[in-house]
Amino acid sequence: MLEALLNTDTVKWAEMPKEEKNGIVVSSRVRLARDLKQVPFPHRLNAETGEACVKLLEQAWQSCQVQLPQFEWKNPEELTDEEKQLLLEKRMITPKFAENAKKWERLLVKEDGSLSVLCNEEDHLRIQCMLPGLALEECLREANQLDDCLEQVLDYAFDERFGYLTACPTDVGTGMRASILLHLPAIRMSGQLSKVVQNMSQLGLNMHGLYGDGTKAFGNLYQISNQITIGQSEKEICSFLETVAGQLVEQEKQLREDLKQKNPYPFIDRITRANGLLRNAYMLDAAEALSLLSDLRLGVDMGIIEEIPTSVINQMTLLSNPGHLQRKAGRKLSAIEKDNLRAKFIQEKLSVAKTS
Amino acid sequence: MAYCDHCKKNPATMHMIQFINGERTEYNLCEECAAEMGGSLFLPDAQFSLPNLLGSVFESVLGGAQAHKSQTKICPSCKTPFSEVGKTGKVGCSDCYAAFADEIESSLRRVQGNAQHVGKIPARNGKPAQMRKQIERYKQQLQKAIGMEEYEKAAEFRDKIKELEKQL
Ligand SMILES: [Zn+2]
Ligand SMILES: [Zn+2]
Repeated sequence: MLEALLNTDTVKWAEMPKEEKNGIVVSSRVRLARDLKQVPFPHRLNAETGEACVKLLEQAWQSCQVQLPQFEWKNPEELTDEEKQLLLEKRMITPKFAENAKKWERLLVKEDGSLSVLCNEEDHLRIQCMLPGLALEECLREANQLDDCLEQVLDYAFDERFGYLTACPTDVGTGMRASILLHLPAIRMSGQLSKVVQNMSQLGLNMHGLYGDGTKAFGNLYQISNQITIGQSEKEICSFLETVAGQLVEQEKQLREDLKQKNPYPFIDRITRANGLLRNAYMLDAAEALSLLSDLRLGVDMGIIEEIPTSVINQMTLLSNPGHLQRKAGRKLSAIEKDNLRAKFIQEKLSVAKTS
Repeated sequence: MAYCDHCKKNPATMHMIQFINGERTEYNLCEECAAEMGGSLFLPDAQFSLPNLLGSVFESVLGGAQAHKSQTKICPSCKTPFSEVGKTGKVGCSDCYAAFADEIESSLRRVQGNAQHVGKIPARNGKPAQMRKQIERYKQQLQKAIGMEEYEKAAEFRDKIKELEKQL
């Protein structure tokens, strides 16, 4: 089941429905941290307590299985490094889980990759839901459902004052991090990024690049997320984040128009050039591919080049990552081969998108 | 009903939190004013200095006069000393929250501006919390009923409150 997901160039959050025209908001995510009473927190587990804790969690999952038929329980030891890399690129696991999972860590995952639970990583449970577009409310609803299921069996550590008690006191309260992934090329091009990052911080939000960080974020993909976890309800946090994302979208749109009006020739040239390179290059390194795909996404959004579904652009972005490239090629690749196949696979995607 | 803090005219439907120089200010705004203020937040030359929200939660606590007393505290369940929590930013078990309640509370107030959970309550392990919340709701309805001189309804709510309080 997980095998099928790993063999695709996509994952739920990348599959933007065709009728969604706004390409600026890429995806939404909600993550809930939950811990058990009377069990040491994960960083204090040893071989013995770790095994006992896994047993508790696995029993809980088994008792929920009827309600959760599309889920699979995975021991990271059963996963190859290549498979962990794929899950990481699909944003379903953390680098820590991919590189260095302890014997008592587990992954519970839904077949379409929309929901996953990391067990005994930073917390006993980290429930995550990721969906395409602006969908925090739905992410929260789905994460809550899974949370409610597991809580029927597990004794959560909860306190009336501090809320959900987590391994890290910075998560205490709701235990929730909500985030929205946005494509913000015009904010970056107009040199306003650092100001926006500052503004986010004043609003109690975090902002960082998806690939790389800060001003070096490749592909102009940025994530905003809440820093505050206590004193506000989950819904309040989500709706505030969506409001701010809405303002960022408006600002991005305005700046796109400004850039185009001020320098229409170079602006359009940049986009048509990216389109040409993506369709004809024989080699593309990852940084170049991400940057060209960003220009392509921008061009499609603004109607400068013919329509390409957002989901296809997301797939090409995923395919620019080494794990996905090697999976599709079916073998380990040298750096040069990667650059060559990256160009080839992107061209395949583009030619299919054209005819459909 | 709450009115907008900005125009004082429309009903407030949005809640906004701003951090300026580490000071937290909360606003209740109507949609129009929220859009207006939100817009101005993104003005290129808005000048603010940055609060360091990401610093260790416990830095501030460990620097205080209470520092020595806090440093020597140990969680009775998992034996994690508070000094370690200050270093790693992690507690050892859920009982640590009771053992280091003062330290955690004051650092949460500093960093997050609040230390009272208002969100989701787990169905099983949060039963008392949920009942207390329900009692609060009944008490509000009771006051309303009295205000409207609906004494029969008020009596009903009073009974419900008594019933729940007995169970607690
Ligand atoms: Zn107003
Ligand atoms: Zn403890």
